[in-house]
Amino acid sequence: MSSHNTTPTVLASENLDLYYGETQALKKISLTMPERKVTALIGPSGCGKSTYLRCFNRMNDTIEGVRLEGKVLVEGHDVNAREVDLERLRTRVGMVFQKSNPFPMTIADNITYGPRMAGVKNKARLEEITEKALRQADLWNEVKDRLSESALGLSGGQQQRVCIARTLANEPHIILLDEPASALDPISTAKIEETLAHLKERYTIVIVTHNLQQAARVADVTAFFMLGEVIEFGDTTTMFTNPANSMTEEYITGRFG
Amino acid sequence: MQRLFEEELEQIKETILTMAGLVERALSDAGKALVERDSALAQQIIDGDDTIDQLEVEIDRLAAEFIVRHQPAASDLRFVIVAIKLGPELERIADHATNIAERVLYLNDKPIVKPLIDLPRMLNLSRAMVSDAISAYVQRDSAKAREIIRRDDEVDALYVQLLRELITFMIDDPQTISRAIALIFVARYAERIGDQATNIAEEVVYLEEGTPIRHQPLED
Repeated sequence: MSSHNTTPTVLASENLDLYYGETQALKKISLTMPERKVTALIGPSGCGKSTYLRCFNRMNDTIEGVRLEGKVLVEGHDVNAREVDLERLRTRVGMVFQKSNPFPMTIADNITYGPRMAGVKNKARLEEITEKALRQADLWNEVKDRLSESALGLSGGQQQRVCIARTLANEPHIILLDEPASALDPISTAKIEETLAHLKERYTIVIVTHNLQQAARVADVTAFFMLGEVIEFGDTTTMFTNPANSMTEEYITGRFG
Repeated sequence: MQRLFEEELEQIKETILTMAGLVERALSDAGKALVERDSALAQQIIDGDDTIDQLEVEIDRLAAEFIVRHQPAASDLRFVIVAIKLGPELERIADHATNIAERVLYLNDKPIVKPLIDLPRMLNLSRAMVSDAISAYVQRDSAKAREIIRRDDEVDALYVQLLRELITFMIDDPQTISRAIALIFVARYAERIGDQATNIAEEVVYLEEGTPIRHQPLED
């Protein structure tokens, strides 16, 4: 159970540089995310926090002209190694985006989409997966009687939790969230945050947020990015009460950014 | 928004300074009332305590409002935490000044036990610690604050010495017991004021350096 054991680091990068064409978006990022904790990535727009997040399930592959140097490690393996199976990687490293993107199908079909693609056909097994994922996303009680209705009929907050449940149905080890609550009202936001607090018992979570209070509420550790560099990384409470770096101080007290 | 933020921080600070000014005044008046046997001045200190109490409530109100509106972080957060803690320290110091004034009223219509030398000195030392702690707060000077903390030993030493001396008086002449006890109380209040100045100084160190130093031995 100890976080300081001999298993390989769940999520880390070593001397990571990333370029969009000529522009360097990430500069020598070396971080180790703690296992089964929430790590928040904060910083002003364009600081590289989302770019960094997308390295862990290779979402940057879809962007033309992206070049990487250094290492991105998931469960001890370099995700950019030639032998890596991209589908397998993205199963292990689930992702939730800013805009909820449920598929235009029933709630149940949304949740079981991944497992069905992976070949699960047994109806009872699929129902079991659906219930488990929806429970973990704190959505089960709200939708259990309308599983065969379209997911698009749900509220924005519920749709986002469908997306979280859909990610969980693939049994990932790591969950990446890119501004998951920035388009939601405060009550839906609070529900997502509460869900994260439960999920971290089982998953390693990394969240990009431009809401500093959200980082302070949900994250165990926080990394402050600026101009593609990590300025400060450490315990969230310490960072929000007594940051080590004056740039962090200025950013979190709202004096710039 | 940013200007309002700064203005509200400034308002909290101003209120603390107003309160500190009244507290320092009450302390110097208490010393004067004791030495000069001035009952009218002692009464004035007692009457002024309500104003100081109200300022403590006002600091809490301003701080709560600031937290609700701005959710401060880092040094702003520490500033508000410290403001909430300084209020009660200052209020308690004012209470001690009032308690001294009450003893002065009791002593003034009775013959003196002995010429007062160490007791006014002790009161002066602890009052200076309070003044300096407040200016360390204003100047955000944690080195100065640490120096104030060291001065508390001097106040404590004087207290022990005074106690010993007044016990001798009481043994020598039991007629002096009730008056000597009143003086021991005054000395005790002065000693506590030194402790409270120390608490304020510790909060200044926390405000500036970000790490609490309460309940830790001072490194030399």
